[in-house]
Amino acid sequence: MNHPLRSLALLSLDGLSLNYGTVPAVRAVSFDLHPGETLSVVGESGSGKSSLIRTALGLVPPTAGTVRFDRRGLGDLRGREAKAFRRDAQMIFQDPAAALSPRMTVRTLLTEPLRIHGVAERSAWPGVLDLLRRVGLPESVLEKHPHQISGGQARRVGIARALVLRPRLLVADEPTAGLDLSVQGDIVNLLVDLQRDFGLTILMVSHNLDVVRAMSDRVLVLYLGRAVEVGPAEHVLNAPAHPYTRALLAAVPRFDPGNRHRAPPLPGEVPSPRNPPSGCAFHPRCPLADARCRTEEPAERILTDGRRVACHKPLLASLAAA
Amino acid sequence: MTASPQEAEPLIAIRNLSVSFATGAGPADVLRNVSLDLGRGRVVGLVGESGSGKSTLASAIPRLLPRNLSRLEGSIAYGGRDLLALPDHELAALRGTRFAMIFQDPMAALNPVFRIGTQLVDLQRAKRPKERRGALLARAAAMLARVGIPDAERRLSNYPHQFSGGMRQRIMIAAALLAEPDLLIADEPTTALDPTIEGQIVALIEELRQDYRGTILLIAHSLGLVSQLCDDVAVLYAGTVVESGPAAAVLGDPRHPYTRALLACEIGAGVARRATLASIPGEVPDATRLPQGCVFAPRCPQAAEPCRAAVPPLRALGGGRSVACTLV
Amino acid sequence: MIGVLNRIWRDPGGRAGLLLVAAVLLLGLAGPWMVPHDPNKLSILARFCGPSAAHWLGTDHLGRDLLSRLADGGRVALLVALSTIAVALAAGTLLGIAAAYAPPAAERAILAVFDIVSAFPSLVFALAVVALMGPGLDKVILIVAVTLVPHFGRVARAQTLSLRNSPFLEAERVLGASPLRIALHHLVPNILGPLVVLASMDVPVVITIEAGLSFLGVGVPPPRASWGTLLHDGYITLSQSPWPVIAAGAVLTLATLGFTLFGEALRDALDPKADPKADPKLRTEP
Ligand SMILES: Nc1ncnc2c1ncn2[C@@H]1O[C@H](COP(=O)(O)OP(=O)(O)OP(=O)(O)O)[C@@H](O)[C@H]1O
Ligand SMILES: Nc1ncnc2c1ncn2[C@@H]1O[C@H](COP(=O)(O)OP(=O)(O)O)[C@@H](O)[C@H]1O
Ligand code: SF4
Ligand code: SF4
Ligand SMILES: [Mg+2]
Ligand SMILES: [Mg+2]
Repeated sequence: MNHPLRSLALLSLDGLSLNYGTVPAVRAVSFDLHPGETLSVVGESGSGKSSLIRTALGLVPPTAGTVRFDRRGLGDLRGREAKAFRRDAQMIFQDPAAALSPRMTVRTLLTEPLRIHGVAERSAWPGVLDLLRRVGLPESVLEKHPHQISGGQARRVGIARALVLRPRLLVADEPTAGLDLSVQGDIVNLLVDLQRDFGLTILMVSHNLDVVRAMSDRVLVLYLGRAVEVGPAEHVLNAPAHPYTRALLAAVPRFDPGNRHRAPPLPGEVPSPRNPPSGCAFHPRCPLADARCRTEEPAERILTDGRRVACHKPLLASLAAA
Repeated sequence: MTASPQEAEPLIAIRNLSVSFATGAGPADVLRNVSLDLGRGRVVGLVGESGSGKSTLASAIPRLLPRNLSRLEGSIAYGGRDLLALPDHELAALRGTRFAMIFQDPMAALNPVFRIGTQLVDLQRAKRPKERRGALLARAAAMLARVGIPDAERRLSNYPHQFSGGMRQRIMIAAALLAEPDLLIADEPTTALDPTIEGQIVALIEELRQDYRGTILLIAHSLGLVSQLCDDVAVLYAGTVVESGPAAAVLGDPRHPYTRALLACEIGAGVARRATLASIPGEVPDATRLPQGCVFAPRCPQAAEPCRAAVPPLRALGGGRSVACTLV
Repeated sequence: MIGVLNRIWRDPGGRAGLLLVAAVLLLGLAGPWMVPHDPNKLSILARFCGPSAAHWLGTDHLGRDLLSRLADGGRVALLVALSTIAVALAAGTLLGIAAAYAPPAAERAILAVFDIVSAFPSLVFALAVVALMGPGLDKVILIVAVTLVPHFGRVARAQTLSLRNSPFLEAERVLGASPLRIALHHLVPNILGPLVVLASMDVPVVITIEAGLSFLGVGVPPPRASWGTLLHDGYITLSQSPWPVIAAGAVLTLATLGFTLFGEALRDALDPKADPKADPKLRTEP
């Protein structure tokens, strides 16, 4: 709490938990996100990634813990301040077409944020057109409805819409999911450029570890709602400390023509969060699991390179701080 | 390595296949002059951007084409017969016995109101009409165990919704293999799955190849998947095969500008953070308004006059490779 | 608006519905000035005439011109039907949306009120209201509207529940849109389709209810015509002449058919995804 850097964080989560009824989806997740930084959340489907970012954006109230944006607790924001937060923090949705109101044209969708926040449309319109160009959309899409544009175009509309208000924080849920390989690079380049030009801070969720590698400063690995490894992207992705992170990385079929050898896949599936395994939640699938792992939940430890790992036997024990 | 497809006669030989659909905006030419061999016992990968016609090509083999089909030309030779000329009832008899399909969404392909066991028994009936139900159930259980469903015998009495997405896809694979088909068509079998589950399915398919002798046509978005599983690969762009051949050759030394561009889009493990990634500018042309000449010309960095004059034919390069480009 | 009418017109059923609805509206709204006779003029000598040059649809038991009375009755019927449904649609939609978003206890309370109102026979309810406030057209409208609110309310609630967790509504929340704005700009346009269809199919129902109330003397006071009273009078004197029942029944049937066809075409026309001009390339995979 008293860490000097803490006060500089744009977004900081502290012991954030979210239950749906009695089912825990997010369990005591903490991290700080500094201005201009990109943090990616990775994990299998159902591990709680979307739940985590929805709570971080104040779309659902947390069961426990706090979210601070610019040093103010989200729970304490009222009236003007709450509205200002809604302007400063924007999101790109996992299913881009479904996140666009179906009866509106792209033009209306792009100007709606202005109307909501009482920005004069006329003076802001050139900026909107500029954004449209930046995201690579022709002006002809302005009169189209969401179902008349392709998935890649819908994603671009979603990005433009999130940036119309010039937010400080951009939350992106699977920004390249469902896109062709030929467009994926475009979207990643676009996000990186926009981040640089608009000074954006990005919190991203992705299944695609290559995209994560290309975009992130730091990575948070989620398993059954728990952050099992958090740290600098190049360290976590090149030398994972948690057995789950390693398994996740090994699972991606590598493009390597001529070499068809592959690592054995991670066995089993994510258990139901309704009744998580005892001890370390990963133990039923972990090749290193022992008796202690089955009974005692590992506490988080900090490695010398600054990353946090929740495992009794981290793969890089040499890095473990005393 | 088995014999290359040129030496032995292929299981299926597609020649000059053209498929169009009637749409509100006029005829959509979804496949044009597609020629492709599916060699016996080989895994053939089909890659291309979405809308390039991969699924249409796959469903043209068992002739499961949508109703607004307005043109179907060319031939698909299988066992000395042309599938496109076969009467409906003969083709229907081949589906599910000689050809089996696995789809992206396994839930859509399983009937939600019947137990898995019942569905797996019914699938085998076409080939084994006289066998006892008990024996078929036992085969089903053995196949489920084979594809990695724990406690297979007991799970035969479960309904599809009682399985996870990954398990359902395993069940679909089991169902397809129970029919002992000559050709197994898998249309993006792992797209809806997690990377870890995808890894498991890939490993499963790899392992099954040891005792399944049939041909697999694998449609995939992921080049990683194709490079790991396929013997041969065909690259489809806007309804035409632009390049085909042994996977190691095509992926290791791509000759067509589109294949090159597509491979360049793959983000390698070595990519630096915030490095500019490759993409292919422009979009796949609309099937109702295809450009003149080479379909890739509007996006091709090497496009020149002759490219726009005529459609470059798919030419054999030797070594089982073919490329459709005026430059090659 | 023009676009929607255009799309209805392009659909054969919609075209038939549109023509029928237009005919009924014309008969009801402009008819009284177009028809040849005073609808209330008695002519005992010309009782129970069949159709003739003077009386196109014949006359009733008091010798009044049926066509003129149908036109006059149509005006009352349409006035009652349209205003009733407008009131019920607005109130039902609001209550339905409120119920879907309300905390569980409030939602249960709203649903209980819906159940009670629809369990009450509307005639009994009407008689109670008339006993308290006296007869009149405005009361008919109020009574029928109240009994229809649950009808719209339940559909609005179900539609809202199915959309409540849609990403596009969440996207509006992220942008900071107020709940009212989300409801009016994003929710209502997307739940309105089925409600409008329901409304247009309810038009004939309301006309019939109004007829029943008028017959009981709590609706349109005699001698003013209404389709219901025409039908009813005709039914009583059916043995003397079939024409009053045939004429009133036919108009009612055509109106029902017209509004139903119109409603169905309207639903399709309001669905943005059903636009045949939509780019086929962008169709979603099956
Ligand atoms: N509204 C809800 N009510 C109850 N449980 C929910 C709800 N939303 C999510 N869950 C559960 O919470 C857990 C985490 O879900 P979440 O959507 O956050 O996962 P995710 O990591 O984003 O997955 P994906 O990669 O599939 O998007 C899952 O077990 C899910 O079933
Ligand atoms: N029934 C149909 N009617 C009209 N167009 C269709 C139909 N089915 C597919 N298409 C079009 O044909 C093209 C190829 O589709 P598809 O075979 O599904 O591609 P892929 O599987 O490569 O994504 C696309 O442009 C698609 O929109
Ligand atoms: S605590 Fe044990 S079971 Fe959990 S990840 Fe570490 S080694 Fe594996
Ligand atoms: S034919 Fe011309 S336009 Fe087509 S791929 Fe080859 S070089 Fe490019
Ligand atoms: Mg998610
Ligand atoms: Mg497809």
